[in-house]
Amino acid sequence: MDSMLSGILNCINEGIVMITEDLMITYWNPFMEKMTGRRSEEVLGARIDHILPELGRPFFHSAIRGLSAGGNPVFFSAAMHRNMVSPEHRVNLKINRIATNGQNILLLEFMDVTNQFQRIKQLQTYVGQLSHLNTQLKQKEKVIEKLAYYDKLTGVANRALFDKFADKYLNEAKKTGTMLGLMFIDVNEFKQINDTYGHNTGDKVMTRVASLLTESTRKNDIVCRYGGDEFLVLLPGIHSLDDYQHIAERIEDNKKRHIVQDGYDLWLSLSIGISFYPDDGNTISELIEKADEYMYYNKQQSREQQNQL
Amino acid sequence: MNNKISREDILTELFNVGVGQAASTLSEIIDKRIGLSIPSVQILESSLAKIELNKYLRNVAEGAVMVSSISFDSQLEGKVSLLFPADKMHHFIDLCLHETREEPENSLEFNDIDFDTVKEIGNIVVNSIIGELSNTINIPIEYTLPEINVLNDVSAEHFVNPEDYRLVLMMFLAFDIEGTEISGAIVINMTLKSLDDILNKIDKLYNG
Repeated sequence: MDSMLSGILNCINEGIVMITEDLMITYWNPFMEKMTGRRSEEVLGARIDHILPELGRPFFHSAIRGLSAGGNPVFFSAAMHRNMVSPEHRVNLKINRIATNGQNILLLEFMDVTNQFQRIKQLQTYVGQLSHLNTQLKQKEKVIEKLAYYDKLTGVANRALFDKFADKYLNEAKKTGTMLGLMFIDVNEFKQINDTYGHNTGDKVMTRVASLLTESTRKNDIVCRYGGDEFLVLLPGIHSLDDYQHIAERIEDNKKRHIVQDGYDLWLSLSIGISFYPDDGNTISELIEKADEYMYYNKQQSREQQNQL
Repeated sequence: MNNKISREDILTELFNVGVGQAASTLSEIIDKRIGLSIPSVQILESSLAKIELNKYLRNVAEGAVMVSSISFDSQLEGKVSLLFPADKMHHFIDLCLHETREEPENSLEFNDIDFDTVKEIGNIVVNSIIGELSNTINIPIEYTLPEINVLNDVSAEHFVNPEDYRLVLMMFLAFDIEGTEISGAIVINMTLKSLDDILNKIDKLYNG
């Protein structure tokens, strides 16, 4: 081989091997020595598939036959051929046919891509960690949102979420010409429940009231804990009083009943007042005020009925 | 009644022999059962080829493709493009490499390992098709290793060049790795003279 060419191939940072068409090694550069730990003197004259056993598989022989006959280059990727030169090095292999002095030699270029594999693996680990952090962050965002917009004890909407939806629903009602219902609900004698059975039981009763209201209302209705023992319910898209009646009946069925909580048999009763946009007011404040007023009458009536009994 | 076998049928049979060999090579390399078949080959005017290819790009590839392309010259001149729907390629590559990855599978981000894997597959498939054709018609075809690209929002104009190549060989490739199917498309742009040479040889060989 030309001494200059040989000098170049000795310097190159790529494994260069030349073989005959019957697979005998005629050149093995220093980079190949470094990757395989096999000295050039040891391998010259030996068959390539004896030195690199991965190249003894039938597809390699078939590729070499095709290349010898047609001359078109072949490519073997490090990803699909993991142990081409040694377990420590990942290499891509490109093979070309070169015609010289009336005979063909095959030039094998082993391109070391081990660093590329390591970098990609590292990046994949980072992506995995980032994706895990992102999932955690999203979960935390949900918790923060829940804390910001939902009542900690009962899990229903707090006043911030109520205000957000109240404006939205009122605007929709104004645009579509529908009614917006607003219920004001108070748990009767709640202070007595707390004083008699303790705050812990009182809290659980409050949670049961919230569940009862949620179960009795529709998907888009907003149940909100307004104060200590007071709830508000927004009822959007009411076209007629019949629409409201269905919800009211469901609440009515549950509003006076015995419940068992923490082993105590308790009498649970609710006072309810309802106002409607546009009949009872044009703003949310007016609707709350009116519903509170109706709730108060309802409470008075309940008390009177109880006194009579 | 014309008893002659159509040129498209002959090419379909030839290419299926080729991809059959490619399937067995790939099966051996990745140690999985692989099926490769070409249902039919069409010889189309470039305008018709664009219509057919646009259907594939819109309906199967949804606009983004991974392309392995090879140009050939010397006695025959042209360009082969092997197209795969890009969003299916992560899964496809993972199947070839016996791996699973954490990133979303349908992303269009590919690394060098992915490109090299597709380069080898493209090389095997194109070698098999062009090799079979070259052997049959006994005309040598010379080409280099494939170039791999990912193209988003691409249309048939990119692959069919009516100025240089008026006729196009179009075929779809059904790739099946252990029951997972992926539909590829192969577009071979050829100069009129090259295609004429091929078709004349085929006519002589099969229809006397």
